[in-house]
Formats: sequence, structure tokens, C-alpha cells
Amino acid sequence: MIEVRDVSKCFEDIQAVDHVSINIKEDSVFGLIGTNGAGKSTILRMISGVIRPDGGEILIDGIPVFDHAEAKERLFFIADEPYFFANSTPEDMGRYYSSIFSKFDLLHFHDYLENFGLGKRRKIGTFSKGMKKQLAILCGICAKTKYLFCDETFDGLDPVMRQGIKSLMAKEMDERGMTPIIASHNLRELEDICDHVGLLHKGGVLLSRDLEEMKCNIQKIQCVLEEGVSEEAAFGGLDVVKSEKRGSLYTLTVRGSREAIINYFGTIHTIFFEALPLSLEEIFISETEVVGYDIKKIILG
Amino acid sequence: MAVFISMVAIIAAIQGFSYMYQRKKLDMYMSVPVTKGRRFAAIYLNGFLVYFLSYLLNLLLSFFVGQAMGASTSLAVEEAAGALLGNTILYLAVYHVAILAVMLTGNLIVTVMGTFVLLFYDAMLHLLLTGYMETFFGSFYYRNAEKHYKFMISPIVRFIRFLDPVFDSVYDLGRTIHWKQFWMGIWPIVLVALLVFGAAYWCYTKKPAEACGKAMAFPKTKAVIKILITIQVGLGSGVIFYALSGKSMMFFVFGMLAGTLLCHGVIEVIYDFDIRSMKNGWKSLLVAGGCITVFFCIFRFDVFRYDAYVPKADDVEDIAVVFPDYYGYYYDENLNDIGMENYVFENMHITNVSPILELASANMANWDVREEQEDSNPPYRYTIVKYRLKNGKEVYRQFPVDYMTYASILDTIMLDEAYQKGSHTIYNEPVINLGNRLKIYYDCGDGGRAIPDFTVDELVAAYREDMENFAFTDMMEELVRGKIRLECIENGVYVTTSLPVYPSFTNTVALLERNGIYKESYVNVDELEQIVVRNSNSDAYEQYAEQEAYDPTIRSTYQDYTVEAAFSDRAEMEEIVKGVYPDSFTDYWMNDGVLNYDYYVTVTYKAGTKNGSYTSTFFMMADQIPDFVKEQTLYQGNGESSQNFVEERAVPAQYYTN
Repeated sequence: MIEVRDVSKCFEDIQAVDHVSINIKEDSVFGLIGTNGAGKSTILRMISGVIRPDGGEILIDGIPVFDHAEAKERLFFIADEPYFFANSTPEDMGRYYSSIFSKFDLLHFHDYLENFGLGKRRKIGTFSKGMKKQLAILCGICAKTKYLFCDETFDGLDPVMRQGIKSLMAKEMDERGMTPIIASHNLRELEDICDHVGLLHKGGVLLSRDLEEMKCNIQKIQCVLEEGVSEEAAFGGLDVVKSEKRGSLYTLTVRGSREAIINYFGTIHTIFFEALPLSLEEIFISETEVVGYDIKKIILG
Repeated sequence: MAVFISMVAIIAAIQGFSYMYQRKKLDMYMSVPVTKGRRFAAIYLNGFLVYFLSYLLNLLLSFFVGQAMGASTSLAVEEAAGALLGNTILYLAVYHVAILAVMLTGNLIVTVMGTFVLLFYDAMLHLLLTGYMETFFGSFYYRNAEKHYKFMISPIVRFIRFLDPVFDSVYDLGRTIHWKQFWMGIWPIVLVALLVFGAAYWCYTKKPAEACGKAMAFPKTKAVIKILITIQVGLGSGVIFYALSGKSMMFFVFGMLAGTLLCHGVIEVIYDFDIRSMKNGWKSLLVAGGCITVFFCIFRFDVFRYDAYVPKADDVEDIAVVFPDYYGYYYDENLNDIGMENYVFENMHITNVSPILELASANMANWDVREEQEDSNPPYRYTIVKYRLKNGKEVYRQFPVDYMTYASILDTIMLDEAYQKGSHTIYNEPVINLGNRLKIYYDCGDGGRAIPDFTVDELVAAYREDMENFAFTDMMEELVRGKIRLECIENGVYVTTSLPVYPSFTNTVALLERNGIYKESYVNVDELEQIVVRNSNSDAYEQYAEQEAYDPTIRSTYQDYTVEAAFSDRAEMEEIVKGVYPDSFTDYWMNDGVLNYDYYVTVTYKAGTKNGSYTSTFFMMADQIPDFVKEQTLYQGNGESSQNFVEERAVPAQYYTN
């Protein structure tokens, strides 16, 4: 487990990270969401041991990460702009990482390179931005570390490649329990992959929740009430987060378990009602509104 | 070589740790499971081995080739080993300084600038101090600043100053390295290398990753470094403007002001990478400005009375004094020609200090007044003294002295045994101890090389006895009659020294007379074919040079006013040779005005008298120039080149052969 305890970081007079505490459990995908400048990269760099926090501590499986090779042996950090040695080829990078990471799987690495169409002897300098990101991810995956930190890693990948990488991650998670920690400013990008999400804003954690838990506790209902049934009478017993009406069709975001909400709607007079799946974005909208933020302004701009 | 090695060291350091300049590189390097210490060791060793292995490989290849060609000698092996060791220590020292610069900065350009500041700050400070002392202190003698080198930590400067000569002597003299001199020169560089390495590693462990891309890694160092650099640049600008403006004090102050403001502003811009920051940091500007003002005032107003310094007799252990008009070759124990000043300052220990202190006290005062009078008659000559104080300090001063006014003091000084032993070449033991390996020649002024039959021991005994009674006033009253030259080739090194012979040197003259080679005159008319007198007519030159500014037809080189005349009439030649003085004897002390340097005399000997066609050159004594010579060599033109009319007077064609 990764434990981030009351960590702060200042860059001159700018408070980049302000007393952040997050626990990242193993065998899950942790999404770190936030706008540009929210502190995602700073947190990832601190968790990776690149920069030292001004205050607080960061433990990787109980080991302080800064300047501890033992802790860093368990993680691989893919920065938003990955670096490769000048004039190097994927083969060179594989050789380098295999000398650094004891479990680096060169065989798999070469297989993946072939599968992804990345020439192992081609100069990386001639690769496109997306190809470089693919290569960085392949390096990260083949390093066989327990944790894989990805900073805006899917940015710049085409949808097909993005899906391919996600599948690869899923496979690694299944096979050896890899725990990816993915930082992104794009909620939709993380929607289908994250198990747990931490929302950062202005250097602080707005919320950190299990996605399933959030999904279980909030429902989206579409319904049409029978004639003569008033809104107040029908929805008075619900914890409505958001309500929209188009003609006679109500779309409600309601807090509560799916079962309880369905049971409730069974008791009121409706012509039709249906429970719909919530997008991550919708969940966030409702959750952040609770703590007094307008998520559209924070995440979606 | 030192510069090349230093450049390689700087490049290796910057390249090795360049990951610290770019965030994406830093992220990669810092996130992989390698401890800081291991990473440092790997990069450090890589940078060192790149140099060392290339050097060693090339050296070995050279030796293999040398062996095949039969050129690898034990001397070459020893020298190569010494060079490898010395160069490697220099490499490491500069390498460490450059690494320290990388750790203190976060940007490539700033690192390069920082490296040069760290490498040369103390050397620049030394130059500044020397420049200010030379500018403001008339009694400053450069050796007083030489002692600063002892404290200089710049490895490149130390290497060039202390180690290059060790290797130079190998090349020049074909000897092995003087290892003692080598170690004496190298140990401070080793110390600097170790200390800087410690500092560099400490900074490496403390350098924050967020310093990447910034000018300075540690905010607290910003102001200190800015002030230190600004002070140097401000003070240096003052001296440069002063020199460029023809010594204008107004420009000195302007230069300091402009340099200070500009340097401070530029550093602020570099720190922030923002041109608008030029006006920032007024507090540090005030501190730097204050330091510059204090420094300037100390020198400008001679706050510490530098120019009036004469030690108390009780504080002085002994003194060495140099009257720079005296000339000769002086050798150290390794038969290196070390020059007169080095020899005197090393070997002269006058304990009767009162006459010298009296001379200094009388001439150190009223410095400004005397400086103004320097060009007037009688001319002042600079005297350099080295005070060895009882507290272990060595202090040098120079001051101008009108030698004739202080002739009696000079007599006392020159008759002092310690002075004689410390200044006369006849006491230069490394040469004299060569004994009869030295060949003796005598030149009576005509350039001849008569070979006497007396021994070196006889000569030394006679000459030393003559010198014991030879005072300054004697030297001023007499003219050198001849020159004894001692020379030999010892271990491939040419060693030579010459001893002037004055008429009052009765013992030496007796030895020469015994051989029949002592002559009362410099030239024997019977041997002469012709005399050519060339008069440069300096008065005419000066007169017409002034007019040249107004009249472009006037020529103004010395050559244009020089008139030459040839004399082959015996009577005329007899008249002329009475007043000639050998050109080769003008190295020795002589009263001003004895010679007229306008008249340059070339005598041509008859065939067979001097082993074939032969000439020698002379000047004329001012009061013995025959009138017919003056008349025939007088410039009589009106500003036109003298060559236009010397031809009409049928002067020989060999006009200006030298």
C-alpha cells in the first residue's frame, strides 16, 4: 500500500500540495483527477521519490520512498513527457531498464514492441509523441514493478491504442496484481479503468473514494409521474441531488442504494421509471456539490 | 595542455550531471531504484574514466611506437608518469569544481558561467589587487603581489604557475622531473580537489529536484554570489576605463559605477530569466556598491600608508637590494638562468640595514612630487628592496633614487660584503664551482675572443679582491675596458657569465697583461679599413615630428633624419676611435650623458686582421665627437627624407644594413 500522510510541497511562494493524505490500496487502479496545476504531477513525483516533500511522509509498502532504492524497486514512474537517452533505440532502453529493475522482462518487452509495431532498433528520436508514450508504458509494464505511476499517460494516444494499453494493464493486474496510479485531468479517460479516485483541487484532496462505493450510493433515475401526482409528493422522500424536467420526463440524481431507490419508486405513482448507469462525471458532479464545489468548473472547465 | 584538460573536465562534469537541467531527465533518473550515492559514484567514475582511460591508452600506444622506434627512454617514462599524475590531479580538481558549479546551479548556461567564476574568482581578485596597487601605489613592486599566488586556490592557475615550469625544465634541459618541486606545486591542488569534492557531494545530496531549470539551486546563495561577482566586475571596470581613458580618475569612477550597475542588473536577469528583473535587488546593489567604494577609497587615498612604508631597523632581519641598471646572467644550483632579480632576492642578506633604510626613507617620502620630476634632470632610477622582517614577512618596495645625490650611501651599500656576494656574478657559486670546465675569453670591446692562459681560480681570486674595493663612485668615474666571459656546456646546458673589467681592477688587469691581451683602447687604428658613423639626428626628428601634424609633406621616422658618413682617412679614424665606446659594454652602469646614442659607429677591419672581413659597433662618448663627424652627419634638410641628399654626398651604399 502507498501511504501519503499529510504531505505538503511549496515551490517558492506557490503551495503546490497542501496537507494531502491519500492511501492507495493494492490490486486496484487509482485515478488522480484534477485540473492543470491541481498538484497531480507533484504528488506523483513525490510518490515516485523524485522530489522530497516539505512536510509529511510517503511510504511505499511501509518504506519511505525518497532516496530509498528498496521502495523505488516497487514502482515505475512514467512522466507526462517520458525521457529516453539521446540516440537510443527501444532495445537500448530495454537493456538499461533491465540493468536497473531486477525483474525487468526483456522477453516480454521485445514481444510487446513487436505487437505494438515499435521497431526495436529504430531511433526513439524518430518516434511520434504517441509512440514514445507507448514505449514508456511498455517499459513500465515490463519492469514488473508492483506500482505503475502514469502521469497523463493516455494523453496523446489514439483510442485504439488507448484501449490496447488499458487491456495490457488489466492483464498485468490479473496476472501479478499490478497497481496502476493514473493521473489525468480528463475524467472520461479514467472512467472505465479506475477503481478508486482521488480528486485534487488547488493542492488539496477534495475527495478520495472507491468508485463502486460512489456508484452504489448514487443513482440516476428517469421517470414520468402519473397525472395529478405532484413533484413534492412523489420525490419528497428522496435525497435528490439534481433534478431536471423535460416535458413530463424527470431525470433525477438521487442519493441512496439502488435497491432502496427502486423500492421507493415502486411505492409512488409513475407511468414509467428506469434506473440508468451514472458516468464518472455525473458522480463527481454530485459528490463535489456536496462539499461545495462546482465540478464543471474544476474538471470540465 | 592545462587549458585543454580543464575544458575536457568541465564538459565531462556538465555532461554527466546534465540530467539535473531537464525535468523529464530528472524524473527518469530520480525515480529509478538507484540511491543518490550510487548514482553520483556511477556518473563521477564515468566522467573520470572517459579522460583517464583515453589518456592511458594513448600513452601506452605512444610508448609502443616509441619503443619500436627506439625512442622510449627512462627519462621519457618518468616524465610521462609525472605528466599523467599531474594532469590527472588537475583534471580531478577542475572536474570537481565543475561538478560543484552544476550542483549550485540549475541551468546549463549559468553552470558554465559559475564554473568559470569558481575557477578564476581568486585569480581575478589577484589581478584586481595587483591592478589597483600598480595604479595607486608608486612603490608597488610586482613581487609583493606574487605572494598572493601562495594562497590562490584556482587549480588551473596553480597548475600553470607551479607545475608547468617543472615540466618545462624537462623539455628545456633534458633533465628528469624535480619531484620535490612537483609535490610542492601539486599538494595544494590535491587539497583543493578534495575539499571541492566534499562540497560538491554535499550540495549534490542537498540539491532539490525543483531547482531544475532555475539559475541557482540554493536561494540563499543567490545574493552572496551576486554581490561577490558585482564587486569584482565593478572594481575591474574602473581599472579598464581608467586605462582606456588615458588615466582619467573621472572615467575610473564612471567605469566602476557603470560596471556595478550593469553587472548587478545582468545577474538579476539571469536569476529570473526576465529582463524586467534588471532593476531588482537594490539591497544587494547597495552592499556591493558600499564594498566597492570602501575598496576604492583604501587605494585612492592610501589609507594604510602603503607608499610611505619603511620598516624600523629593529624589525628587519636583513635586506636585499637591486639596482636594476646592473646586468648579468645568474644561475641556480640546477644551472637554470634565473635572472638577476631572482638571484639577488634569494642570495643577498644585508644585515647592515641602516644605509638602505636611510636611502628608502629619503626617497619614499614625497612620492607624488618625485613622480612629477621623473623626466627632468637628474633622472631618477628605480631601486628595489626586499625587506625580510623578523616576524617572517617579506616586503618588497621600489622607489626612484637620484643615484648621484646619494652616491656616498650607495658606496656604503656596494662595499658591503653581503651586497657583493649577493649581487656580483663572480660570487655565483654554481657557475664558479664549474672550475676549469669553464672556458675563459676576453673581449676588449672589438668583439674579439682572446683566450688567456690563467685558471678560473686565479681569475676568481683576483677579481673578488678587485671588487672588494670597487665602490659606486668608482663605477661612475670609470669606463669598462674589457669583458671576461666564462662559458661552458654542462650536461647539455649552455652556461655563461661575463665580468666587466675596469681600469682600477689592478689584480685582474695584471692577469690580462701577463697574457698580453689587456688594451688601453678599444680599437687599433692599424687594423681598420673604414669607419661609418650614423647620426640619427634626434633633435631634427623631434623638431620635424612636431611640424608633421601641420605639414603632410614632412616625414617623421627616425630613419628619415639619419645621416651616415664613411671615413677611411687614417687621421680621421684616429680621431674617431678616441671617442668610441663598445656597444656590447653598454649593459654596465654608466653615468647619464657619457654617451651620445645618436652616433652609432660601425668599424670595418682590414682583411686578415680579425680572421677575415669583420665589423664591430660602438657608440660615441658625448664629449669626444670630432667636429668633422658632427658636420658630415648633420641633417640639413627641411623635413624631407635625408636619403634624398645623402646620395649626393656619395655616402656608401650600405645604408641601414641592420
